[in-house]
Amino acid sequence: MNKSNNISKFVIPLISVLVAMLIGSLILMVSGISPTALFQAIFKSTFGDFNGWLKITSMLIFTGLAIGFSYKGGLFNIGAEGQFIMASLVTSIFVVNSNLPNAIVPIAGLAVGFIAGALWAFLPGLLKATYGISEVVVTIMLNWIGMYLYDFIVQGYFHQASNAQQTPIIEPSKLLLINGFSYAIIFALIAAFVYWFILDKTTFGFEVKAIGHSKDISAYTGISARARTIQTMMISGGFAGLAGATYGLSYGYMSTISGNFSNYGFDGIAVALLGGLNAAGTIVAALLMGALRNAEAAFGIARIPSEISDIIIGLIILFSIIGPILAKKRQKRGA
Amino acid sequence: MKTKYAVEMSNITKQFGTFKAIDNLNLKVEEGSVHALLGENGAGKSTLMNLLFGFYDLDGGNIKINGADVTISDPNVAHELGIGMVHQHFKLVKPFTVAENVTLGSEIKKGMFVDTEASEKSVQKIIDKYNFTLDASATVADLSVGQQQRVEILKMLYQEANILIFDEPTGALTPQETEELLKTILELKEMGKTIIIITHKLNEIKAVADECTIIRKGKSIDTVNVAETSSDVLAELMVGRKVSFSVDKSDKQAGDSILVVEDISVTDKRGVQTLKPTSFNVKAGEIFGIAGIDGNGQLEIVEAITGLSKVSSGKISYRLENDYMEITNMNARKIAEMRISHIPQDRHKHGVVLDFNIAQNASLKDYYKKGFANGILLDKLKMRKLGEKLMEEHDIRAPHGLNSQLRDMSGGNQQKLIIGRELEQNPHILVASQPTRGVDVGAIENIHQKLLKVREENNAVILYSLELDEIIDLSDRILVMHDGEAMGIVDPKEVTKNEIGLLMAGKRLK
Repeated sequence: MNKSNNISKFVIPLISVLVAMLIGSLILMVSGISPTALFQAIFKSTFGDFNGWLKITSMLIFTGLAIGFSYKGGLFNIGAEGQFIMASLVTSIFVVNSNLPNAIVPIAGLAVGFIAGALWAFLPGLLKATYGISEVVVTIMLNWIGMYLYDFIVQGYFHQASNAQQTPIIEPSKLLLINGFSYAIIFALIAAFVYWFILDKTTFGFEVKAIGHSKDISAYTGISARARTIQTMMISGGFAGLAGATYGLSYGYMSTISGNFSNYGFDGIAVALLGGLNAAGTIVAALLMGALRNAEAAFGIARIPSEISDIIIGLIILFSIIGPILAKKRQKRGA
Repeated sequence: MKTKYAVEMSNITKQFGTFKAIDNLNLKVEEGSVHALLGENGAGKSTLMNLLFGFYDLDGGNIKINGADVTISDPNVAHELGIGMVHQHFKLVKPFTVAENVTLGSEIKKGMFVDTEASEKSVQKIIDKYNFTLDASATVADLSVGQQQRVEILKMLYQEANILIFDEPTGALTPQETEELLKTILELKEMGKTIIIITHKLNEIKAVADECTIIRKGKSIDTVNVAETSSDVLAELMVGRKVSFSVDKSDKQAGDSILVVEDISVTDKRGVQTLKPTSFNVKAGEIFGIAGIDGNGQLEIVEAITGLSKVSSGKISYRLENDYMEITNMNARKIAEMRISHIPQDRHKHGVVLDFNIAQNASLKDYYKKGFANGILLDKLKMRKLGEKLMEEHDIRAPHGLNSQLRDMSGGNQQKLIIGRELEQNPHILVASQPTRGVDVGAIENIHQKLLKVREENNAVILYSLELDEIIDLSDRILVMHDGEAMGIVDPKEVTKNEIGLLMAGKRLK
């Protein structure tokens, strides 16, 4: 049973990705585009633009961990997107204005991003813990509030003649770059380790999972469901905040089209589900999803509609959810 | 004349991973008889019936229905073969009417619409035929548990099932409803139906069954003629050893008061006073029983003492090393740390985390403690060792050993784990809230002995149970509750069961 569980841990995500790719290819074929162009584009941009791939991957690891952590605590932080946006803005402002030595600035920036994301997640955590208000509804609302607040601040205060939708530009020397090479991935891997360590090794993580499985156990064991709920949301928001900070610290600025989301927070849902909510799985899923997102630029050149990656990611989520249910059913039948 | 068998299951084997749930089991059920399946929690009774009903596939063996070999690949096949099943947890659509539930899947149609009138009529006809006092147009959500069960039975009769399986049908019923169900089962037998009833209640078997197959650890131990077999023998066959139904309690003098409860009252969210000011004390070395009909303030008392809920007024004091300290409205963890242990009434809600494994649940009271945890880190080795110890000492059986999730274990084994964990705390006071609810005879005896042992060691037990016999047998003193009010504290040696019954009904003794 345990053995077969371990197998299904790998097999289900693998099948999910393969089937999603297959359906994506079929859709392309129907539209008269050769699927080989899709795989060529992905292959070329992954290994041709290794740096770009890793930048996106590290952000997806962070947001994947954000979603995963909330899941473990029995919550669904669909607000990673809003936390990402707020953290990227706050981090940019902090880093641009910081007088700290250049060696420390990126790390301080990540810390600021973590705090900003955690604070943006505090309110939904508090409302959930105190009044039982669904964190899903509150975080969705806060995504929109965060996005328009971002638009408002960026347009109103950092309005730059050429780029209307851009955060202040960070000097290259303050970025997470060595010789132009992004090392954000190292922090993402550390974050994944911390995620595993907290949930698997600490008494705090034990309590987060206990409350995640059963709120009622709180009254009996004296674990404060209220405190754990708020903390879970804030840590989850912090992980999303790290992704937001990484954006500014990798590219130098964030530029979006007014009224649009970055989608890194939402992609985190797919990464977390595909990665089975565990740290190692999240890394692998983020590498895959990162390759897909990174290839979008190449899709344009190859005349592949870039929506294909949204379709494939959507399908991956769908199969990641259906897979375990089908596997369980099979197991029940004694297969 | 040769006997005809409605169901013949031979050499049945079913394995989950490495765990043999059913091991080369044989069962023959005579046509038109009531056949009981008796076994402890987790013995494999329900698994066997799920095989017969097509929920699981067989790993080995074969099944004959009415003499013909069959393969029951899913419940639809079972339906076609005339097998019906009433599950422990009803499978009803609550907002639908009785008729809608009964005809679901084979609706009577008028064109493309459901013919409500015709289906209510046809269902009412069956209701009247079997004398089930039910209204076919009533909404299921408005029915009592007993009535809902009758809807489940109606479903089988509507499908014209001839082999009826009842999986622990009396678990959720009141005594009156149980009596009615047993009567119904006998009537169904009169009409020629074959009935299989899964239970671990011996008196029910004695009341309705013709034959009884005893299952132990997935094996069929014996099939006996019920009329010729005594309850004692049945219990012995089931558990595999002699079971004593009487409680051996030593005469012993109780010590000083260890818990003093003064005028505590509880007011619920709606503003109703569910516990009126109540005072009592509990002494070291006694079992203090709390009796009453369900929902008369007993649970409020238990939860106030253990910190699960708060009191609106009053004071609870606890003697710790010769000093009394107030524990009123303290956090449950703090109370537990002062060695007041608690076997909660609702084990799924409060007693365990169903998605955690045995080791994790065993450590639920210890995982964070100094000397158990390494600072902020869990000591997984200690957790596993504690889990192993509890499994061994309390005979906890689980499909995948220490790694089994509680969800996959039977209720009796979950309860053993909770009791083991709470005893591991070396309690000064053990608060046991319905500790034997839903567990089998063998386990009940075992639990009673554990409670008595706490008393022997000069610690106190507070026992809240709805089983009056259990309270009378075990307790040294009994607090009787009625409508949130204490009716008095009695000595079970000085009053009759009848007198306690009167107190429970709200009549004070003269």
